[in-house]
Amino acid sequence: MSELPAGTPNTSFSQILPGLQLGVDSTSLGAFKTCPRYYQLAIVEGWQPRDQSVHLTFGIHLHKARESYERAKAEGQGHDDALDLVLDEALRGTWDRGLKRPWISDHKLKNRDTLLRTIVWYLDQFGQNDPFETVILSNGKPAVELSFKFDSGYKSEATGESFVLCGHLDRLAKYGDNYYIPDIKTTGSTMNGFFFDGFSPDNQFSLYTFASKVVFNFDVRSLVVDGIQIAVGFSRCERGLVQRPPAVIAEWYQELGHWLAQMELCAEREHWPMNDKACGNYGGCRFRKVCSKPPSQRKAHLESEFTKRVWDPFVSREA
Amino acid sequence: MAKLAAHQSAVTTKMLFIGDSGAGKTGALASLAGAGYNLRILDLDSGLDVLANLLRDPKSPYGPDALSRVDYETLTDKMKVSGKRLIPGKATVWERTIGMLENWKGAEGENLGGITSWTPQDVLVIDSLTLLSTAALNFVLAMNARLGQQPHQSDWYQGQQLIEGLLQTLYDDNVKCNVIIISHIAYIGEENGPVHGYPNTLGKALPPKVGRYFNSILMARTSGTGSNQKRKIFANSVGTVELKNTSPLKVKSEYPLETGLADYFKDVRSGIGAGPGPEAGMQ
Repeated sequence: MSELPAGTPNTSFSQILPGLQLGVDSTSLGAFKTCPRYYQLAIVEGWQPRDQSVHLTFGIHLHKARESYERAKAEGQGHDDALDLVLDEALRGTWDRGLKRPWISDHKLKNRDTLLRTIVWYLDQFGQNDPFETVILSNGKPAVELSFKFDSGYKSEATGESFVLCGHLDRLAKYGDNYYIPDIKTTGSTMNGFFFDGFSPDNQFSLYTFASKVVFNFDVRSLVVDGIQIAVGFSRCERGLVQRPPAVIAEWYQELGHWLAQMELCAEREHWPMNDKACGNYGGCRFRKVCSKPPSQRKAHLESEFTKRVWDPFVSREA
Repeated sequence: MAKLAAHQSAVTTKMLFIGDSGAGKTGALASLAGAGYNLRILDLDSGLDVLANLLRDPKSPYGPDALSRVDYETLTDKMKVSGKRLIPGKATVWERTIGMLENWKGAEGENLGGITSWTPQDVLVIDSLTLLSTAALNFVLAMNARLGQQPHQSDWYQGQQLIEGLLQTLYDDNVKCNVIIISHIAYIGEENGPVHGYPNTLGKALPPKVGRYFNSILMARTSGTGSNQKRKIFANSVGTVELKNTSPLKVKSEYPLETGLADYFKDVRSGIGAGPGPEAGMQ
């Protein structure tokens, strides 16, 4: 995980210019593009709500389930056995041993029951009959949760240090002669074509496509969104193709230089301005109440309502 | 700013060639091979017999070299029986089509590159949009592990997106070769409105939009019966089918099927001195 306990040194930031992030992942870059102030609070300072987002917890378990399923299949287990293993892992993972009780979620759509149901329904549809075959790497392991880290080709003008792009691909898969990056995305809404349109343009998917070529030398032409609608009584899975033509990736990479320069400018000035047109995005920014208060009152509000953690993209998920 | 004189329509034709089944669309391609163009055909209809026979015949009016200027790849999926229905065993046509456009491998193993490396001397032909659309929908269904099942509404949308994305790519200025997409006609009527003939592709929303990705829309049509039967290519709107061309002052309203496409290519390039120029004339 890139998320570490508060107080852990964040190795992704410059030693020369504190506040300048050199190890940049899609979460960090996306945060900065959304709102530099959001980036400052969430990534540079590491504030997060006291209760971990239910969406994050749910997503972590779901991604872990797919990863474990693929590893079990690569070891020769059949669908049913692999699913048993994954469910066992999910049950244990959502059990708090200290408190001797399951993970309690007050979210009506994302809780322990719907997680287990979603894992079964998702893998029944896109596990045993998946036309996208997980690539088996030369070491015999399935290409799941692939961490990457590479020089972006851009350098900080202020410090001369290189910006490094990093992240994790959920999975690398093959259909026919072509390679794809499948990625799971959940929603509470009905999925239609517009759901998949929402991923173009998208910072995360552009970075993944770029990385697949640069790091893994796979010519990925599209990403595949495994969309899962989570409802009270059912989970519905739909797949959509998200295309990234080379010209689009070239444009994304060119503009990356602009964004990294902006990150550097903010770090030099120690000021990350607010984008007050992004406060209402995705149901409202988690820092909206903070930014609504006079600057003199914000620190106290953060300390009472939030806790700190360290977001370090240089720490791989295997670590 | 750019000079209109240098607009790519002067040297490149992006054509939608429509007509009912049996109107002679595929056979009409022979005149382009005879006129010196290199034809690269993605044959999804598995129906190139007529073109092969026209060009292979010793008495062919298109010249002895025309046949050698045609490359093709037949793209079909093997079918299997599921219940009482025939469904594709695996949906590969869409993927293979895109693969050929990105890197065309010739019949003798030669690599002809991607379509962005081709020149105005080359003509990409997709025969037909109808089956390409089916291939796109099958790909979406296969992707969702539902091949052979009734498509969901979102499948139609995604299939349409694939087709429209491909048309946009082919219309892109970076594609310097000529493009001909052959299509059957679907007659679609709005509620209480007139019926129009549109290229046959997925759903009702996409067909009316297809024409915008082409600078020429021509139609092959058969008239008369028996010995009076005549096949022609029309360049101006016919009945409920809207057609268009790039040079209304140069283009004739109709052409004979046998030479029509080559004549049209010649007409729209006449007087500009920028066309590829036929290397071999029809005999």
